[in-house]
Amino acid sequence: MRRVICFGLLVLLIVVSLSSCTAIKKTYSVDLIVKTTNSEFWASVYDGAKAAGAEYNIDLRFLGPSKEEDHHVQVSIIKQSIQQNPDAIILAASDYHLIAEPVEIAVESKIPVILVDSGVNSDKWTSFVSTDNYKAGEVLAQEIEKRVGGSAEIVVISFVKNSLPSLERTAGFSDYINDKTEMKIVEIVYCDSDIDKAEQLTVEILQKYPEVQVIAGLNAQSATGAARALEKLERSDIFLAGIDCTVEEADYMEQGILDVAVLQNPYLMGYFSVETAYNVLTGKRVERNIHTEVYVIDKENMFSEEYQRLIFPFY
Amino acid sequence: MVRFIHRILHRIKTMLPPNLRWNSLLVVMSFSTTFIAVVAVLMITFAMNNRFNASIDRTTEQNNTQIVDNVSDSIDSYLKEIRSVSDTISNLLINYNPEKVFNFYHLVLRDDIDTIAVFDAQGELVMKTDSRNLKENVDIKRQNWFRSVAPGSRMYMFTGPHVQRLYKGEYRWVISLSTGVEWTDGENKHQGVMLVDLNFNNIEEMCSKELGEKGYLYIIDKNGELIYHPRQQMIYAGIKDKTIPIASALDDGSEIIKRDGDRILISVKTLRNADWRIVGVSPLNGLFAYDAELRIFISLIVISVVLLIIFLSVIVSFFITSPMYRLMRLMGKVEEEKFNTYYVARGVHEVKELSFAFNQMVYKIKRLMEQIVEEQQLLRKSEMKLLQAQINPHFLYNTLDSIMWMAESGDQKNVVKMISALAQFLRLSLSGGYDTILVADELKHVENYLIIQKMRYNDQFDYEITYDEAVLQCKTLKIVLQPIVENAIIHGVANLPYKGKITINAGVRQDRLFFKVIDNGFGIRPEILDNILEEKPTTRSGMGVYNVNKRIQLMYGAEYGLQFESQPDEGTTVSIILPLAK
Repeated sequence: MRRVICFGLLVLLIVVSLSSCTAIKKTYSVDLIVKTTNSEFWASVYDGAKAAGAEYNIDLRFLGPSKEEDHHVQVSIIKQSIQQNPDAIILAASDYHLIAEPVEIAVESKIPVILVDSGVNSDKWTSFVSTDNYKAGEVLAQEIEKRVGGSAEIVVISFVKNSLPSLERTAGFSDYINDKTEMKIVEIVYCDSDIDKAEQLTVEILQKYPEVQVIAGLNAQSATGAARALEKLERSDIFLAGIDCTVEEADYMEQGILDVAVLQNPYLMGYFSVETAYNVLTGKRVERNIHTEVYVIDKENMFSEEYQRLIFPFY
Repeated sequence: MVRFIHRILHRIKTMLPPNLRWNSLLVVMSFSTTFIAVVAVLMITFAMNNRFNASIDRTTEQNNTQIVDNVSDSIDSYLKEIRSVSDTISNLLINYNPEKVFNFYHLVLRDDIDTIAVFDAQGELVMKTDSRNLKENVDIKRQNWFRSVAPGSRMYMFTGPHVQRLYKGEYRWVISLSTGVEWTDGENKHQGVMLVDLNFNNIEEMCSKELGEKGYLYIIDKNGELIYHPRQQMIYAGIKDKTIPIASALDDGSEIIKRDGDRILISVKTLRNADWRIVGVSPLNGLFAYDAELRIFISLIVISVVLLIIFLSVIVSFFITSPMYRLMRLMGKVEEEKFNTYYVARGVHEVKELSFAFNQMVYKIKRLMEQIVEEQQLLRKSEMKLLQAQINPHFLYNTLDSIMWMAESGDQKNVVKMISALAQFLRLSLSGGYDTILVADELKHVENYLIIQKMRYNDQFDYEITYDEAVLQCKTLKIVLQPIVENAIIHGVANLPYKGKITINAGVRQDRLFFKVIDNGFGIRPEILDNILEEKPTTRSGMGVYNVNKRIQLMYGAEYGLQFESQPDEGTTVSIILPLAK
């Protein structure tokens, strides 16, 4: 028996000395596939992802179509990424239904998928880092109620019909307006995340509904397009509310064209998505849903110490 | 289950050669030396690692302190330079009107200064260095940098990072130096605030000094608010740097902080020209985390040393034990009574000594064995002599007595016959000291005896001798028949009411020489028959039979000797069984 113990100890010692060799930190490769690479929002997500990548020793590739509505391009980008066999894929799905299949292919190829910002019609993904989009829509509606109230008529400019954030924000917004206020949503239009189209739609809306008091842009492009139109038409009397706040929108806010914005934290989403990927790869337990906070900003508080940090990127 | 494993282990144990069993010297020695050596190596490695770590800690500490000092010096002189820019302008403003001053300063604009501008006490722009237009409706008076100094006070103040929003569409992160300035415009004295906006270009560059593998530098103000951090955006987004609250509570100098199992070296230095502190942070993970290559190198060395130790200890153990196993095998041979084994000594001194002693011992055993054999033979010879010698005197006395009586009665013919038989009988009895004689001679010897005895007993019995011709030339132990026949006469036929008969038969059966002495006398009682060869008899005649048997067995072994068959009142048959020898 004693000899067996001696032998065991010896084996243990050898194993320990061997494992000290393998304890060297591994570099993982992770693909971050977003809806479009041409957007301030996704650039901010990428910045956060890069920061986490540096922290956790992760090789990050930033991929995505140049236009957000190119769902098929995103599908082929995901498939190419799967061919490269990265350790994990972080994905912002541009279409709730269309992207489900490539997600399942990736998971079948043993590549864990972490969703960021936008979900898909599949439950194969490992974790989902996002703003609580329903809540974002709801908060936006609350702010409009607080600041305008009454029985104001509202036009909603949503962005992409079949993307999950769009659906959830619209639902959160409409539910609150319809159930808790006297206000009325007269129409919901979709700008396909195209600023020019949003601008165009705003002009049309103002012609179609001269009584409208509030325009709610449910993402950066919608609100920016609306703001551009309102500036050109000199209609700062229209209450413009938006979700997200780009530097351009901040400028409109300072001018009083954009009245209130619900701010997400894309940098933190990017950071958390990579951190989650790392935790998945190193076998730690991760939450299935990770939500980042939303913040309400307006002309008064946008330069406060807390919010200027979130609105204006530090470079 | 445990028993099952035990059984399997036992099976393995019995299948292994003896020098590979768990409890064999080879295995025990190999394992124990390996174990001790490995423990020693690991202890040395551990001690060295600790020693190295301590020295790395010290070096890192010195290094970091120096780097933090250097960086704080350069930032200090940078801030001083910025202040001197500000001082120069405010000095010039006292004597010249702002327009002139700024036309002059246009020339020295640098890429780390975003804006230099002068505002009056109401926050209205007086003059600025570049041609960008101020945004409409920008409320200067509400901005911190403006409120932090009193207009015209010549005080100066650094305002930490904030977004400057003087220009349309531009939101840049800057550090503002505001100074209360005075100037004269014609007759009127004015008071106001001068703004110098610094971007982070130079500060970033100065803070980008390497601080070990994972170290970094950042700047906080006296309240622990962040001025500059290489991961500023990350912290702004809400990911905290846990070292900031620790650093803001520390005095200038270096300190090692333990946090979540990690050891972090934090070096702090307060600037002279602003209420800022430079903080250097680097994790102290010791030698193994210090350098991946070194880590692999050391691990490889440790592993190869361990392997080498295992190899050497097996070799050394084998060298020491293999002569012992040879010795062991030889001892096994000795156990099998092969005494012609001796050991050619090889290997370590103790084994040589041992094998020398072994050889001595085997030699002595061999000598003793030979001696015992010799002594046994001597003993047997003398015993046989003794046994043989017991035959003679009574018979001789009785025979001579008979001859005397015959001579007295004048029976000359029988006297001659008897004396001739006695002479032949004695000659054969005393035949040259040999133990063995020819069967022919033995038969002649017993015949002479029978002749004598028949005459002495007055023809009370007849005798007959038959034999195979083949056995006549065989050898036999001498005088085996005569004591048997003597017994047959005395106890068998001597006092019979009718005429007795003694038959002697010699032949070969089952590769053995046998004699049979058959009489038709009284027979032997069963209780006597059973013990006839076992106990040493007390009567002289019983003695003869006992001695014959004893002699045969001493000479040839227990499988030879006498066999008795007897029926009371019918007679006795005695078989003498001897090895067949020519």
